[in-house]
Parts: sequence; structure tokens; C-alpha cells
Amino acid sequence: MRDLVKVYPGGVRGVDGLTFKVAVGEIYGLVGPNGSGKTTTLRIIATLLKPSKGYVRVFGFDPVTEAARVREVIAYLPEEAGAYRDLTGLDFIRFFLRARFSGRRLEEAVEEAVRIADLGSDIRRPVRGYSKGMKRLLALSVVLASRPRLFVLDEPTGGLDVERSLRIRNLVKGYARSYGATVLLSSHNMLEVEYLCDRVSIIYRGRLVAEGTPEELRTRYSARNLEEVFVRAVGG
Amino acid sequence: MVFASLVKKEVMVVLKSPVFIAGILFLVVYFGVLGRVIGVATEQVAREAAGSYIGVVSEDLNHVTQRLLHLANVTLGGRLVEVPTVEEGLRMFPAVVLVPRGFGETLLRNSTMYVYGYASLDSISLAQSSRIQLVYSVVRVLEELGRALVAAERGVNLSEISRTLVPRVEVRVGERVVDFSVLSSLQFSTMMFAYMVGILGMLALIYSAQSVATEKEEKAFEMLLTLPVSRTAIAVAKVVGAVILSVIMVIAYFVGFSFTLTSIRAPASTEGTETVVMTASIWDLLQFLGSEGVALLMLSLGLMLLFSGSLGLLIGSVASDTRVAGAVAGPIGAVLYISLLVFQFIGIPLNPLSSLLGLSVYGLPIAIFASYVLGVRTIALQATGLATAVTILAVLAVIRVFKSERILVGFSIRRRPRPTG
Repeated sequence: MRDLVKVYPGGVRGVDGLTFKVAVGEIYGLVGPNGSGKTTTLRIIATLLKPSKGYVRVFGFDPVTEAARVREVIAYLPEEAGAYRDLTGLDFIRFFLRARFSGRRLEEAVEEAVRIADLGSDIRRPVRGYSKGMKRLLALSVVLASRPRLFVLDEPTGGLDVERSLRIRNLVKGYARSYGATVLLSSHNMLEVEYLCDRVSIIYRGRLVAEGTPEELRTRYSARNLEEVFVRAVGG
Repeated sequence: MVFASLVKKEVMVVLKSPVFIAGILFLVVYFGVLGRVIGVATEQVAREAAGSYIGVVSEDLNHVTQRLLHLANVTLGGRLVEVPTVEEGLRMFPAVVLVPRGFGETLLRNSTMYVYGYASLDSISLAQSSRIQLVYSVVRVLEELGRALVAAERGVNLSEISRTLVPRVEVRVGERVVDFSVLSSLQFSTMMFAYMVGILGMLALIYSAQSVATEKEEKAFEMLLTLPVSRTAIAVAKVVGAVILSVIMVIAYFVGFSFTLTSIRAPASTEGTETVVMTASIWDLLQFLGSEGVALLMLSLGLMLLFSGSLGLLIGSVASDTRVAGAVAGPIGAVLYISLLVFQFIGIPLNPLSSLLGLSVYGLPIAIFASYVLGVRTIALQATGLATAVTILAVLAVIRVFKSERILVGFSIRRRPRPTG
């Protein structure tokens, strides 16, 4: 991604000249406060939004002109992913995975997603009775069981309790390491990013203000953690 | 106090929506205009019925008959005009009454007499049926005056004379001759068709509008759009899904309505009047339209569903939630549905402009009915062409919106969207 600019209809600049590159197999984190451009960036990569300017490639494919190819290699978890309230969790899983798999492979993927979601007998109940955490796990289970080359995860643990957040972090890390998948995630939880990510970009007002491994950043800004890095990088 | 505040909140969150306000204004203006159109049309029909001249062919030279017709003409304000033949009469007037040879003799001797009535209609709309009433109004006058004449001839009290005048009415619709009972059946079945099809279209519109809006609310839409599935397939599946749901709902309506119909008993025929039994005969309609007309009608149904589904999807795509989608789709659906029924009721004049009804897609079945009933199939074909073009444009617009980011960010005129993340 190079010099990415996104201007919304109405003139608001969501991203303003962002440049970064994610290596195959790494877990890369975008951190920044609300409104910094994290979700806009992920949505462009996920083919949901079109960039106003700049260069973006996902495994060599252009998200604008080759959107269908990009969608084949990514799985996207939106910030507030939900599910169809009148379907059961199992129906939801089966529906989404059927878009990628068929036959025996589909059944394996469904089993895998059910295992990841770990909702017990609730998996056969309508989603309208699920808590926010259960819905998040359900959506994440579909994304992980899709086994894409690139996971695009927007605030994967946003709004969840400590226990569920920990479980999701372990799942993401485990999948990335086990299958060699690439992960691009956004978060404003610095501790989460520090735990999960190989490299991190700090974004502020649509621009990249710092990039590196968590350790490099801490050293560069003489900080004890990424929160201090962020404050120093942004505040000068 | 708290409850009042809660109610106020419920009302205000909707009332403050510009879309809701625009919807109300639109409905007020639309129905104001529509009411005026119906009013003018109804007034015109009533005026036509009240002021129309009626042709009279008298085959009976009996002085009683001639006297009766003279009195009837005076009673009806000079609206009866003698014409040599029924054909010539129908060329000049909407209705003709033929008094057969021997009528006067029969009037003096028997209690039951017959006359023949002819009405010429430009369509099978209910409003046009008032022309048939012209025949019946003449028959009623002839019957009453006939009794008075007989009483005078015999020098007895009017109450001692009983006479029944039975009209044998033939209705000409365009170039065709239609039995009155068949006409009633046709009117009934076309109204039923318009009623059912209108509901079908309105439901398809609302269901498809809600399908996208609900999916956005359920936060599953973004995941769906990033699946390796073409956006065209997603959009078409939504339209087809909405159509299937609306068909299921209309079948439920139809079954319910059938129960209602079967529980209504038609009144028994009384001697001297032709009681019309509403048989709801679809068969009459099919025979009238012919295979080509039926095929076009089915095509119009398909086009209307596709158009409704696409229009609904467009509304749902740019709506932020189900409330906005409902606030927009509901009035639009109601407008289309009511327009369909109104056009069916007042009928349409058959001229080249009639094919423009196809532009609304919902008006296409009306144009097809009118066209085939009156035997001018070019109007139906032109209207179908226009409706097909409009439907294709609607489908292409939906696909375009689905492929663009507008499906997520919507259409902003004044408010600037807030970027997330």
C-alpha cells in the first residue's frame, strides 16, 4: 500500500497518504485512536471501499479492478460483525462457508468453525439470543475456518471481556502460526497489539506516524509500552 | 411523565427523519393530485351518464309504443333520439334501446315484455359500466310509463296494473360483443388480478428494501459483501428471495380471500332482472386475452416483480436502517399499488399515449387488458417494451449500486459521513 488517500463523499479525508507493506506470514497491526483511518484502510483492502488515490495490492491483486480475486484470498471480520438473528449459529456458519467450500471440505470447515466458536448447544439456537461476545466468536469462527491467505480483522476483541479477548487472541495467533497465514488487524488496544503483532503501524489522522516491531518502537521512543510510544509519536 | 417522554422519543426519532417528512409531503401531494384526477374522472363519467343521449330503434309502429316512447323522451328531458339501426345508434351514442315489433300489443295484454339494450364501452373498467346503466334507466322509465298507459287505456287505477319490462342487454367492448354477465365476470377478475398483483408488487418492494436494511442492522452485510461471490449474484438473490416471500404471502392472502368469497352467497335470480353472479371466472378473462395476451400478462407480472424487487433493493441499499427503508418503501409501494387500482377503476383511453403506462411497470397489466379487450394489441406491445426497458434499467441500477461503495456509505447530500476507525 502506497500513498493511500480516501476522501469520502462530502469531503472528509478518511486516510491521507498512508504507506505500509505487510510481509507474507506476519501479523501486522494498525493502531490508532478512533477516526484515525484504521477501518477505512481495512475496508479498502477488503474491497468494500474504493481508494481515492494511491496504490494498493493484495497478493498482487488490485482491490478495485480485481476485487473478485482479492475476495478469494481474504476473509474479513468487520468491527461490529453480527449475524442473522433468526438463523441458528450453525446455519450462519454453514451459509458463509458454503461460499468458499463444498462437499466434504465444507463439512470439515463447518466442524472446524463450530469447534472454534465453542458455543456448545447454543450453536443450534437462533442468534437473536446470543450475547455480543457469542456473536463475535461466531463471526470469527467463520473467518478463521475460511482459511484465507490473509485475515483482515477490524478490532477483533472490541468490546469483549478479558476472558473472551484472550481466547480470540490465542485463536488468531494460533491460526496465523499453524497455517502460515498473514494477518492484518486493527486495534486501539495497545496491549493486544503488543502481544499479537510482529510489526505495528501507528496511524494518526489518516497518516502513518511510526512503524516497526513493538520492541523497535519502544526503543526508538524510549517507552515502556506501546501506549507511551503512541503518545510520544503523536504528541512529539 | 417518564412514559410521556418515552412516547415522545419514539415519535420524534421518526418525525425528525428528513426521509419521513419528505414521505409525508409526497403522500399529501400525490394523493391530493390523485383525488383530483379521480374526482374529475368520476364527475365526467357521472355527467356523461346523466347527460348522454340514448339512441332508440323502434321496430314497432303501434300507436301505444309510439306514445310510450314520446312520453319517455319527455320524462328523460329529450335525451332519446330515434335512430334507424342499432349500428348507427352506437356510432353516435353510448347506448341504444331497441323496442321490438309487437311490443305495444304485448304491453296491453301480458305482464312481461322484452326490449333489447346495447351499450358500447371503451374499456372494461368499472367506471365505464355506467353506460350500461343508461339502458337500465330507459327500461325503468318505459316500465313505469307503460303501466300508466295501460291503466289509462283500460280506465283503471294504476295500482291494478302490473308490468315487467325485461332488458336483454348486449355490451360491445371495442369490436367485440360481450354478454353482460361475462363483462361483469371480466371486470371482477381484472380487479382481482390488479388487487393481487398490486399486493404482490408492494410486498416484493418492501421485503427487498428491508432485506438489505436489516442485514446492515444485523451487521452481517459487510461480511457478506467480502465473500468470494459476485455482487450481481447477491443482488439478484435478494430480489428473487423477496419475490418468493411475497408470493408466499399473496398465496396466504388468496386462500384467505377465497374463504371469504365462498362464504358470500350470490342472491337468487329474480324474474325480470338479469342478476349477475360474480363467478370470478378467470376462464372468461383468459378467453378474452387469448394465448398471446395471457403470455404478455404473465410477462408483465414477472417484470413488475423484478421491478419492485429492484426498486426495493435500491431503497434498502441507500437506507441506513430498516426504519428509513420502511419510511421510503411503504409510501412508494402504496402509491404504485393504489395507482394500479385507480387506473383499473377509471379505465384508460386507448390511444398511443396509453402505452406510456408501461413506464410505471405497474400500469402494464392495465394497458394489456385494455389493449386486448379492445383489440388493439400494438398498445400492449409498446407498453411491454417500455416496461421491459424500465425494469432492465432498475436492475442495472441495483447492480451498479451493489458494485459501488455507495452500498455502504449511502448517498449523502448535506451530512458528511463520519469515517470509522
